[in-house]
Amino acid sequence: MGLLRIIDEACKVIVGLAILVMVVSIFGQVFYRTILDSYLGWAEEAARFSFVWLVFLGSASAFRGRRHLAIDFLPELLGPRGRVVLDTVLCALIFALMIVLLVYGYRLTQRTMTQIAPATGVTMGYIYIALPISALLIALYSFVDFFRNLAALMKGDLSRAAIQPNAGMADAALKEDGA
Amino acid sequence: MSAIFFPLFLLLAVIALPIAFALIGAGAAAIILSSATLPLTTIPQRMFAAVDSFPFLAIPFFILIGDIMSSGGVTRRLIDLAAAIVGAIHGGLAIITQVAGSMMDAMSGSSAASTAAMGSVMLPEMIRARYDSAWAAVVVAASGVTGVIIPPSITAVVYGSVASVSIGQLFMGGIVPGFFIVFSMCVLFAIQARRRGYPRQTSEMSSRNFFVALRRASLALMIPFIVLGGIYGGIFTPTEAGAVAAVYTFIIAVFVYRELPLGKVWPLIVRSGITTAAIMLVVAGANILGFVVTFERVPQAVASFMLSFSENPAIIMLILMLIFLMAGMFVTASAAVVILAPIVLPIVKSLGIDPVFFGVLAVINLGIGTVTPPLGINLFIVAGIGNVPMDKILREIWPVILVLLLDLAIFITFPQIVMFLPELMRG
Repeated sequence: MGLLRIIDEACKVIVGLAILVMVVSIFGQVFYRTILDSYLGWAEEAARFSFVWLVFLGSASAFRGRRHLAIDFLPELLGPRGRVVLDTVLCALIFALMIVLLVYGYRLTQRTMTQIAPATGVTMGYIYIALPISALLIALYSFVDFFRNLAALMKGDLSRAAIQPNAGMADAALKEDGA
Repeated sequence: MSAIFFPLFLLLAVIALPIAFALIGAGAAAIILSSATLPLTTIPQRMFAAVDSFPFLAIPFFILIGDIMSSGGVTRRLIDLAAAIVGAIHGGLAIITQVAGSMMDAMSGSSAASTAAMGSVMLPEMIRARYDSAWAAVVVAASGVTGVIIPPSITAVVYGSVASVSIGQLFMGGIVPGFFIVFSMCVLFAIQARRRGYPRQTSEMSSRNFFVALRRASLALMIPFIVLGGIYGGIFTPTEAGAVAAVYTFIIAVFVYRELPLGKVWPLIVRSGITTAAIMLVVAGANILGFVVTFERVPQAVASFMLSFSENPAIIMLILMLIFLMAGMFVTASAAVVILAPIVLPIVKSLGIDPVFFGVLAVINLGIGTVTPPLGINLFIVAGIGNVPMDKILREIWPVILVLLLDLAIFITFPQIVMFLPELMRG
């Protein structure tokens, strides 16, 4: 699993850097407008594009940590084994969805390779591509988790599953933190 | 195609597929089965368009401010200040929790995080003071309700962006109702504490203590003034206010208070980014829903269906409030807003209800939903932190919900309470 971990760490670094770029450019925008009475043209676009990368790569990382908002009513009703079975089914569903998103997201990216952002001059395709990359990563994670769960179920050792089936609802609620 | 969307979305959501993926899946099915030939690239297109939007950039900033403050010892300073103000009331610790919690809410945008921060400090103290543990847990859960109401509120940012309503005005609209609710909670808990014979916290108010505590917390208390003052004065947009306040909070926590080592800031930044991503993926998925419902003219259908019951705006309003309250019990506030807003807003507008007024009330309902059994998220958080059985909490929560509903009725009857500040802003 070493490779997946490296990918996830890289995603997290990009998420953190994206926030720094957002803070610096928006802070710069305010500074230019209020203090220098001038205008920082590229700031808003730079911040917005960083945010797009943050959301899509952060989503991949959030999936790996099972931090996406979900209604956990059914898992609460199930026992540990049932939860792992359910997670296996969900991984298969998510894998299929992400393949669709990957294919059509990639087509969209190809089409936007000729668009140029007005203020920064960035090729829009390099911003759009965050979406299919995210879909690819989530597909990868769900593929691996599917087989990890399957192996855990067959060996009867639930501690090796992709989720911790004994975690309480409070942990889940705290992780959600959906404000 | 909306005929397939909603049942499929509900089915997927109920089997615990994350909401964002349920929206994408139902959207894909609706587009494939549509009678009109629509390209599937509509899905990534709509998701991208939702995310590529400047107002949403405020979300990670307001989460980050809250996280930096809870890790940087600001929670403790606010509690000390609240103790100096209201400690002399019966059940002082419960009142302190409400007052300090509302200060926390005025700085951070996330409700669950501030409930957890407040709970981990105040729950053990209340139990040590021999308060009933279930009651103490309910007190902490109630202090989290205003997290989504008092600005800066992430739910207000999401509602404003989805509904194309001024986020600044939504922020202003949340101030008075937010503190009104805090006050009503204080009254309720003071009466309950007196009946149960819980002690006062400090014997008397001392102005010296108050000024010491105020000075220790003063730099942190500047944050709401930077954010709200800046927006109100037209100096910056909510997103810019978030960035400026994030830089300010970072500086005071790391360099002035020196309670947060520089090395611990990076993990907080990453964490706030990932929390934001989880919220925004739901927003992105809901934008597919927005496309499906407008394409199929669902809002018009829902509107004529509801208007066939009653043409009385008050009754329609009541039904809509109930829908938001129930939604708040099942999903987090921002998810409920992005899913419901595109369907409900056309009705609201056709009835001539001010979308800012409606937005503030909707957010209050979602806040009440966070403590409404059986699924309110804050109840689970305090049950976890305080290690209190859920059934005991459920027995204690009812007075809180009754008072909250009473507050809501007051806001609906006297809209000026909500609209006074936003209307000042409209000039």
